[in-house]
Amino acid sequence: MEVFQLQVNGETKTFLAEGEWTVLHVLREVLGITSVKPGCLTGDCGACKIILDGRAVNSCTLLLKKALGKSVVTVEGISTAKELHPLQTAFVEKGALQCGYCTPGFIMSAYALLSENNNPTKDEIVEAIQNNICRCTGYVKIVEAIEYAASIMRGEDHV
Amino acid sequence: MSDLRIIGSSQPVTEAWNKVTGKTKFTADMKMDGMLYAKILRSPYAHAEILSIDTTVAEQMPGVRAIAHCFNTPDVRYNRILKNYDYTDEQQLSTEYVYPKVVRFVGERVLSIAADTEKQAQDALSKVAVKYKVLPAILSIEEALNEDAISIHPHHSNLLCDKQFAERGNVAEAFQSADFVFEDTYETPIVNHVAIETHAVIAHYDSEGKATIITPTQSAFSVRSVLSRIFGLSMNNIRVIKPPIGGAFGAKIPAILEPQALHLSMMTNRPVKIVFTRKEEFLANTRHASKIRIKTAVSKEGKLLAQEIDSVINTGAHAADGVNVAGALASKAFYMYQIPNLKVRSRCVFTNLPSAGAMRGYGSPQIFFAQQSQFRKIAEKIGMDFVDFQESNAITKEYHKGEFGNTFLLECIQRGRELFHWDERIKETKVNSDVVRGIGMSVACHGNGVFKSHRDFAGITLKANEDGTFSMHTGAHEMGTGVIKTQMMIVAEILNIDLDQITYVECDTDVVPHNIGDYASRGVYVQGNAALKSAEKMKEVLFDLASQYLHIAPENLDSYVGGIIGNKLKSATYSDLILFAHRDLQKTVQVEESYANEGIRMSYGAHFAEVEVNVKTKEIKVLDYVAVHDVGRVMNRSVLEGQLHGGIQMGLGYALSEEYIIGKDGKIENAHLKKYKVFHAKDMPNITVDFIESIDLPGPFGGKSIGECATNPVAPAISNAVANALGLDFTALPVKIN
Repeated sequence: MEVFQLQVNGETKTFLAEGEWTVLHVLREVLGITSVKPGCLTGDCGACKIILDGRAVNSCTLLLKKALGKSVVTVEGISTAKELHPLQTAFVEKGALQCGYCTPGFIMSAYALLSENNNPTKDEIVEAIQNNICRCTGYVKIVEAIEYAASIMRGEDHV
Repeated sequence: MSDLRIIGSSQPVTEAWNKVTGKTKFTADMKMDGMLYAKILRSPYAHAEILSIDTTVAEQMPGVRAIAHCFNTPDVRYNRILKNYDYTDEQQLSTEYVYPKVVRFVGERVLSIAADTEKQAQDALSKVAVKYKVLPAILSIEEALNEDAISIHPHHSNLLCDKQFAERGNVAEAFQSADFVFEDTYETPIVNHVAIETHAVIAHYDSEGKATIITPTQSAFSVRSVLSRIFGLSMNNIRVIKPPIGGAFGAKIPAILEPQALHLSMMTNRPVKIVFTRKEEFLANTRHASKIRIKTAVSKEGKLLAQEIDSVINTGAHAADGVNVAGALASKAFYMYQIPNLKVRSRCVFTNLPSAGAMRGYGSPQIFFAQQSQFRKIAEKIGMDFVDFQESNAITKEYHKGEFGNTFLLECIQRGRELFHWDERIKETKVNSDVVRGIGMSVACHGNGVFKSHRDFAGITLKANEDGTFSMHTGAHEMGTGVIKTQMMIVAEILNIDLDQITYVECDTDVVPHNIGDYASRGVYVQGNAALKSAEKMKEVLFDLASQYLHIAPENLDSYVGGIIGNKLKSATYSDLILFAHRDLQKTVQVEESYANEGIRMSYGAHFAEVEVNVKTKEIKVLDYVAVHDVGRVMNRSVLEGQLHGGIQMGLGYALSEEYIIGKDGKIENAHLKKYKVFHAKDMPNITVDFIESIDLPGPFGGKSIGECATNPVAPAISNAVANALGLDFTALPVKIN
């Protein structure tokens, strides 16, 4: 065990861990950030997606030692106590979640997309969530929610 | 249609805001002080006797606190799904043990180790030495039906059940005289629910001798029954709490890891957590594979005259609810068509494969694939448009004399035909190319609860607070279906309050009224009616209070949003009334009512699909999809749509890409999300959905289910479309092109 530091949701976290641990394990078991979910632990379902230096990546296959010096963002970090991110509001309003287990992972993928491109086509949205599996929604309302969030971010729609 | 304030609107599922902010804690997210982590050692053999287990080295490994196996656990044979506490082997055959002395599938549990960390438990597992005596294994339905085969269970033949269902009319005679008789056999594979949350549990046996089990179950009271039976604990000493569930679809009905976790906690007096890996999840629960022979007689005008169905399903290593699925599968034949002569035989066999169980549809996906595929072929052979064939034979309320409520199957077919532009598309001529398009459709039904099969009731407690808000105690199990929100909407509608004036306490066996569980699509019909009945009782109590408070007879009172009014000068808010009860009458304001399912109601759906097949690459793409469902009444619109979309995603995988690949040794070769292919966002077609409201009382406000009906028609709609594209028949899932 060594002492590590990691930038998580805008804060510097200092903790004991092993470099070989996955970022998923560190976030959940050491830092108590449980929005990031275990779904397969093999990088195939996207439930563990985080934003690493602006890109959506699976945290279950990312070793801690490879994440050092980079910034990590999870769903806990995209809203404040007073205001939710348009994606979060959009998912609820459009009925884009049912059991909600995969939802943080989808929000991360969508967040990465909308940070670069606030007017994505439907195809671009589908591409961005292609590595997230949902077994409840059939993806239809998830795509609608992301379109809606984008229009809010463009100022065309209001919450 | 709606003069209703809330019913019919779109509402998010309960906990939606906590889910999008990451605040919702699922079982794997939870920790308790002093908690141990357990890992399970699993059999490498499909069928073997355990001769000895040597744990001497493992016991000495760092962090190891307890090791459990067949030699130190209760020798009690049980069924993982004890629907009711008094059920015997007659109703649900027991075939499992906490840890068995004979393992019956590759991956069956042999032993568990509880340690301070997950890694320590895993490391210790590798130091355990197990001696097995390998036995012959049975890996297919055919092998299981062979009378000379080895018996998988000492107390029962490999034929778990062989039921001849009620014969209607005279099938043999009808076959003799019919213009056309067709006979075909269809097969469906073993598939998995692939809920994104795997099975997990935290069990804590404390110093009072009370067990607290946190488990994402669809049936908390059933889990309690199973644990009581195995460990001899009284029910008041077993508290099962259902936390948020990350998807279930039937996978989480049985007690799959609660007995193991509780036992380890009893050994250590510490909380014990078990979380399945995705691989273990593939081994935990599956949908029954099937082999179904259908013989159908039709007239040259395309009228169905007779049908004989002979179905065999594969329950895997354990009985679980194999008998129930066999029965449910058979029953569907009676609800779809106007067939005067019908005979159904339904069997279920054991094999040395993972245990099957409930999976969305419960026999319906299997039977409808067989039936709807054959009907497409029949219509083609006799030169009749398939939708015409469906409309001509569809069951109607007149035919069954209202025995199962309002049946709007015909309306679903007609509406779907219109939305999908079937008549235009079917005329499109095929261009000779490598890429061909085809269209197909199918119909299906599903029930609303378990009426006639099992007792089917639910209770709800409603409590009134001094500020005029309400709390509902419900045994419903929310897992993404929106069932609790539906109950809240019903209560809010009846009591005339806003939705934010009611909250709930969910599924804790110490707190909520008895509830057999959430499955069999009982959400709207039974869980909903329980809420309705309780709300009506509360309304009576409030009117009675108002009558005393306002000195006006109850029949001269009416409710407004948040209160009760007599005339312009005399009204009372609900808060006034509750305070009146507390202050002047010194009484609580609380009701509890039970609702028992009153009769069979079927929900119906018609699905239409367009596919594109690349004959060279053998790739099949689904382009366009229309689904129309008779749901009685749209209760919560966005949840209804979402459930249908999700059912379609699951059905598309069943049709085209999902199946267990079983090795010669009985090992599941593709227990991995890279090799077991579910549909991703890019694979999905354009989907249009619509709903028909048949107002099917006594469903609450006439509402009916969609949960399982949503997925039942999908696979045959797809295989029928591919058949149309290629001019071939497909008799097995997933559809593959040679």
